[in-house]
Amino acid sequence: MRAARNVALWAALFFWPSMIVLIPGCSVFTPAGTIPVSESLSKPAQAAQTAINEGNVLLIAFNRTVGQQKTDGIITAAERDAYLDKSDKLGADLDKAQAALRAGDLVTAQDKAELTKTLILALHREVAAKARGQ
Amino acid sequence: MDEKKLAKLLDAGFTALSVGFTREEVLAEVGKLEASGMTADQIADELPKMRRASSEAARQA
Repeated sequence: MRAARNVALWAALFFWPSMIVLIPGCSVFTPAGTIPVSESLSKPAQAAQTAINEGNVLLIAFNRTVGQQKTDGIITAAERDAYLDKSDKLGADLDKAQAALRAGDLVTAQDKAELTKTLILALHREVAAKARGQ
Repeated sequence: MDEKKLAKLLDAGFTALSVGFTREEVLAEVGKLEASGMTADQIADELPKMRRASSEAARQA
């Protein structure tokens, strides 16, 4: 049962963007606007900060799920470490985006944050596929 | 409704609930930080720390 829940969890990580479409208006599944962003920032800077915050939240959720998968015996220690290494690398990219934002380089910050979010979702997809036995 | 369709619907529903568990857990913690008086800038500083801590904790799992 627990293993089935974990598979569903990975599937959820993979499918959550489509849930936004399936359940429009449901704040639980709306990625933007759930984490406060300073109103003193310009609109483009707010957008970049939102993307960075969302990326961090996704990675925290990812890391916790990977740890749970290892605890439940669904993945090996080596697999866990490989996933976490990838997660840490993406996290470092988010830190670079944050640094660019603080330096006033909004274009780099936004581009880097959005690219990183895409890569995080690709990583979720990879792990979900593995959990489904594909 | 045939069994396959029902299974897909159940899967979609369970998936939606699971999304809630994962993201909401983290967002609830962010909400607590906000409620404790942290500013948006401070929360932006806190999230990478939470991210690194979650990675370290997962490596100990």
